[in-house]
Amino acid sequence: MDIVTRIEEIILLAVLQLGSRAYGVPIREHVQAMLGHRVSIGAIYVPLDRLVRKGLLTSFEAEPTAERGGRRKRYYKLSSEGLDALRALQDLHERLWRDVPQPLGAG
Amino acid sequence: MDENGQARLAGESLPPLIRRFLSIMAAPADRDAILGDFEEEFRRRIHSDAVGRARRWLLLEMLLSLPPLFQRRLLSILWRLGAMNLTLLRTNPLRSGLLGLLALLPAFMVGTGGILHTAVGPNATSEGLLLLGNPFLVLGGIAVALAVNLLTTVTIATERSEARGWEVRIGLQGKALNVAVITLAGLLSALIFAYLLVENFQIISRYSF
Repeated sequence: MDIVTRIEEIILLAVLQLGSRAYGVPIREHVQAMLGHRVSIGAIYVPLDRLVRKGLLTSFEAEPTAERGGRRKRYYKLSSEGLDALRALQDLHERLWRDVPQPLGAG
Repeated sequence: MDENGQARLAGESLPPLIRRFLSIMAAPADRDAILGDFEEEFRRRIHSDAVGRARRWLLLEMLLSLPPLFQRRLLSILWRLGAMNLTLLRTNPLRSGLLGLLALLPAFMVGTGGILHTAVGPNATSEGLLLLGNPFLVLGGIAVALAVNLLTTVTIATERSEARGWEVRIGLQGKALNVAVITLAGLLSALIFAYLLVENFQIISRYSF
């Protein structure tokens, strides 16, 4: 599996959770909420594009809408490879945290 | 008036200067998505916040977006420059082949003359046959034949992928005459080189080669 960075992991999870509403604006809001700081519109397209190139996301453009000044939305969808990557990440997190005493530092 | 025009009059749409600037900065593939996101968020903020606050948000968002937009714009230009099929010399392959054959004539004469000279003796070749035996003509001819035909037939394709990085593929366009000229030039070079070794440079002293 390719190495997936933390921001890519958050975006993959955002796309999974947003489902059919996953395009730039809600993805950015989700990422900002998760990270707790501002992410610019330009910056969100860098990891999104990388994930598409890695084959973890697919994208398609919708019809132009008036609320966007006649611009199209680019929707993103998890590919089967993207879903596998998320499963592998989940498994990795579970293994990483399994034997760590809780609360942290208590052991 | 269309909806965009009405929105602009109402101050709800992106100011034209900012829209223009963003369309220049955004890579063509992302332009619609990025400008649409700016437009959508700006309109939402105009409705929910004060106009001045929405405009301040827009300016800050634009400034924060500049570095990644510039990076992606630059990369898209570099990828477009790099990802191309380059035929080094765009010319008629037949013309290149014939020019190559003509350029190889001196080398061919010297090569044939040399073989006859070795096999049959000095009388086998006439001075007339070896008039073309000037080293500049022979070696220059081989160089011209090789260069013209290699440049006509060789293609260089470069491609960049995220997973594998830059890939360069070199191939031949498969024009039989050009490939034959390249092969002949190689053979003649080898023949002349071998001949010079065998004859211990006699041909140089006798025919100024």
